[in-house]
Amino acid sequence: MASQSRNYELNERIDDSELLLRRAFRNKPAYISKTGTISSRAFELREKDNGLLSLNIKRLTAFELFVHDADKFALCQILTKVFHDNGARCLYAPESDNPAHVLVHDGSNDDVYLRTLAESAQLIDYPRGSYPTAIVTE
Amino acid sequence: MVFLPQVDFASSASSLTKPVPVFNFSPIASARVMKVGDFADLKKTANREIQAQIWDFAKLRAGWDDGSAKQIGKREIDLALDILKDFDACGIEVHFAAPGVNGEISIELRNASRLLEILVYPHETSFLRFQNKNFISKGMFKLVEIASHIDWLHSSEAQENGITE
Repeated sequence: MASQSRNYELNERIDDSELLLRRAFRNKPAYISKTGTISSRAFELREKDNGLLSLNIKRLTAFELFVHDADKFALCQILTKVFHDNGARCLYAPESDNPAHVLVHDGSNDDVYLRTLAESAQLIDYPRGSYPTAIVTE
Repeated sequence: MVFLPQVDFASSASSLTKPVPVFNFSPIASARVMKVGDFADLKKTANREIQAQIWDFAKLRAGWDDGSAKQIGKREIDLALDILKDFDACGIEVHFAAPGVNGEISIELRNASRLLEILVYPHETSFLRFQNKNFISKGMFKLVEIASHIDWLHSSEAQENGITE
């Protein structure tokens, strides 16, 4: 188990037992279904991120700063081990305003990989209160 | 006593005479011309919601993810709607649909233990099968093979209920 006081060095491999957070669009488009399941598209690599997936270590995260806009984003959590078991590497990559930041190397946009991540992830409540799970429509 | 006129909609010559439900979202006039009866075509309320979501994908412009996401093409939207209508015609509810940054549309169908994901890309349409969160199989998706996908989804329900063939 990861120690609650465990600190990482730059580019150090994250422990398998760490929970990581990923933001997912809540609405238009929604990546969270009415029942709380998560779309595989929430883990898709984007061109602007140069093939790296951006996440946060849960226990080091300042939720208000990470979410930015609770109407726009929901939060999902996923165990680091899922990435490592599927050939990716989660490395510590702190930013000046985000000491919890992690980058996933050697991931891909392979659909089986993306779906495996989505099936292993869970929607979580925002600590300041619960997210509504229903999709908001106009 | 008030007598209401009896109207036989089923035998009407034109679909324009059929009642069309009114919904609280706007048609995407600039991206797609809605046809009378588009909503009325779908049996399942849940599928009508998915239909509205897919139409909304047409409103997404390039960079909709605050990055470099591609616009979802009309071909992909039309094909996703065709897939939705075919499942609906078989009485099957689609669980969810979402757009991807590479211009694709993900369509999910679920039961308690099984998941079928159909991915409509600009260059191909494929499917994935998962059971109890584990990958089972994948392949190219064809509308004519929709019955085999429904059989696969339903066969697990039969097994879970102790029904054997």
